[in-house]
Amino acid sequence: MGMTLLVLQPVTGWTWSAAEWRSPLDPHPAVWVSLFTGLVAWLISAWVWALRPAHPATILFAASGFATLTFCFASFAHWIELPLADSTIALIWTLNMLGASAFGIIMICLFLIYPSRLPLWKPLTAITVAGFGGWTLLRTFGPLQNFAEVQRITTFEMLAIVGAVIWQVRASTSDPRLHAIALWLGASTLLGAGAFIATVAVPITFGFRALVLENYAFSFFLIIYLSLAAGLMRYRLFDLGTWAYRLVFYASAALGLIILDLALVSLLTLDPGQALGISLLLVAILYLPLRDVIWRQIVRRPPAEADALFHQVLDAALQPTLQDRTAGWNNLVRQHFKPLEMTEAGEDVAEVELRGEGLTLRIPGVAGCPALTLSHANYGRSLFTPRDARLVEHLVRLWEHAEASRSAYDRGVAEERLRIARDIHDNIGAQLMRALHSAKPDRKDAMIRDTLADLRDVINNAQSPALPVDEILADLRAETADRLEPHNISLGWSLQAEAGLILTPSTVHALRSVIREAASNTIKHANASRLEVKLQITPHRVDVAVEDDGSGFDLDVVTLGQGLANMKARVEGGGGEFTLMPGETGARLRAQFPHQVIAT
Amino acid sequence: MKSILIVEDVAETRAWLREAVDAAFPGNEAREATNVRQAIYSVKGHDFDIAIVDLGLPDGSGIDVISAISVSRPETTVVVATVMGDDASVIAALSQGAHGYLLKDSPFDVFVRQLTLIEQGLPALSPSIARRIVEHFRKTAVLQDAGADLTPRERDVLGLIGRGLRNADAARALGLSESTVASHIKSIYAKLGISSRAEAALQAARLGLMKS
Repeated sequence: MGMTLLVLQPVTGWTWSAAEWRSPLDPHPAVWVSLFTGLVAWLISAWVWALRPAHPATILFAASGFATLTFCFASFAHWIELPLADSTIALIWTLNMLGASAFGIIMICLFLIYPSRLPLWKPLTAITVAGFGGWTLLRTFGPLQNFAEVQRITTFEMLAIVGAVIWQVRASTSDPRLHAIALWLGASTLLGAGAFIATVAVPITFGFRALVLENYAFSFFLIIYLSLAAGLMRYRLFDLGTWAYRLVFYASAALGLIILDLALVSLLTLDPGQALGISLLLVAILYLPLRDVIWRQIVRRPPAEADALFHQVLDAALQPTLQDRTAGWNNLVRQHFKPLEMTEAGEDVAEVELRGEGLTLRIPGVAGCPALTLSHANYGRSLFTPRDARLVEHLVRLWEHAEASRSAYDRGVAEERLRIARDIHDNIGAQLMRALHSAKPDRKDAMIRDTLADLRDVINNAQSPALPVDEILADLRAETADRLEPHNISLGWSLQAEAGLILTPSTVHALRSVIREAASNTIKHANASRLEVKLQITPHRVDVAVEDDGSGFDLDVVTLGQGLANMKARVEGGGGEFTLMPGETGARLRAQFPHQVIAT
Repeated sequence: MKSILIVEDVAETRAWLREAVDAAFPGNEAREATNVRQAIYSVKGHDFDIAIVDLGLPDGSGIDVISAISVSRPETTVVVATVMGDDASVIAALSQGAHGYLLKDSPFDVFVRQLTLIEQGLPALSPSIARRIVEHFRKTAVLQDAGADLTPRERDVLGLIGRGLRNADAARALGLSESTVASHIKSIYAKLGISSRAEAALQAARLGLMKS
């Protein structure tokens, strides 16, 4: 502000009256460039320092910014119209010289310790400070004063900076992170400082005219500060996170708003309230989308969409073999983080962790897939951030969930397969064998029919295994009624069972054998008109009674048929009781046996 | 004289079906087909009164034959004859226009009697298929198509049959005549067709296959 005021002062002398000031277009444009360069350099470096106040490198960086501010602001004494005392002019040139030289010294020191501390950095720092400092002081004050010497001093300082940067780049080859920072910072410094040296310092040093007006050339220094700000994002320079960047965005938005507002008020002579509204609107329309675009350009990592993520995880997690799943998981991780290197972590990794300040990311093993160590995100162009760590945690959780579902599903499939196999072996196989060995053709037919009915039951009930008792026995009931109907025998069916009982296939099969066999007997021998089936089922015991109103039988004469004999053996073998006796009018068969239920 | 098509790939079973058809409809004129291609060819060249269709055919599913018949000649009585056919395929066949289904392992006389009943428009249902139909309508209940939903009576019928009651038992339990129960069952079959089309439309909409 002070310098601006100074520049705007008219030839006639100092005045506070704005009407007498020079127009901002009057002074040489280089003045404004100098002011702008110094201010921006200083703001950026101060911002970085404010974020990490205790870091030696940021302190040096801030100091370099201040030095830039100093020499830029003190570089246009000859364009100030206001008559100044000679001593004041000398003071300005002194400031310029000290600032320019200090900038060089500070940058050399910075590159001696950052990104890594070079060997012998202490003596080298001392030599730099003493050497260039002494030289500068000697030429600024005292008998050897020569302000033009500043060009030569800075030229040599620049050469020293170049040397330090090359050294940094070479020294950090073993550490990709530091190497990346050194390259980035070094390249921008060389570009910025080098352009200045080439266009101004070298020509002057060798007695030529500068190719570009010195004050314009100052803006080359901005390259350093701007690229540093960009580097902050990509490499977390000075270990600052993305939020550091956001600060700048918000600050610049606020600044933009104010400038726009002022411009509208002054240029369009709008009423301030109206101008503010229009400014806000313009900011909303222009700034926000622009910010978004710039942000994405800098971060350059497409956001993983939750949907796509879910699909990718499911696709990989549901692969049938562990090998495929591991490959899928590794692929997924590789796709998301594009690490230069990905190795299996030998030791146990309990949780997702960032190591080496984001150089590597360690991922615990999930569901049989080994733990991983990822190095150098984005093909070495960036570091792993806490955001990446959160994404990995999210992936791990998704994966574990998918894995749990898959293994539950696999278990279910295996259990079901076992159940069906057992069912087929115990019932279908045994029945077919009996049919094969049965001599009577009609009995053979009946057995094969029963087998087919059982097979249908296996197929259909496999799809709904948890049917309640009355529904699981429904097919038996309908089948029995169908069989009795052509013989004009009606079926009475009563079922007493506790609600919620789920029978095992073997209980259902036993019941089916008993009732089928009893119905066969009634059809064949009894000449009956009604068959009554009474079932009582508790969680531990089954009691089935089948009674007909037929001619009955003489207990002393009757011998059990093959089917009934099989059944009796089976029921009694399972710890039950099997009785056949004359009923009130016909025959009565009763079987009681213990059983287990799936659920109550 | 009835004109009958028998679609069955197993030779012994085909002969057995032929016998059953002869017993149920004496003096009929029967043709046989052993696969989907032959069956569809026969259907195009001839009008059948009755078609007995096996579901598992060597070159495809009998369901394709059934839908071909219901498109070209809906008045043909289509009977599914299955032995292992699972409930889902039977229901698919019914929704494609089959008028009833029979189990090929039934005793001969039972099979003949049930075939006659279906031809008279008195179909029966097995408990497991009745349960599955209830399930099917519960799943498609969200469809806002009143015609595709079951009436309370139809639900009662399905519920009883699903517990093992046959048509006559269900009729007695509900105080209806047996033929009323049979007509409820026919109506349920018809609605299966509507609901399966509606469901297909819903699926298509869900998959974004239909615009609007």
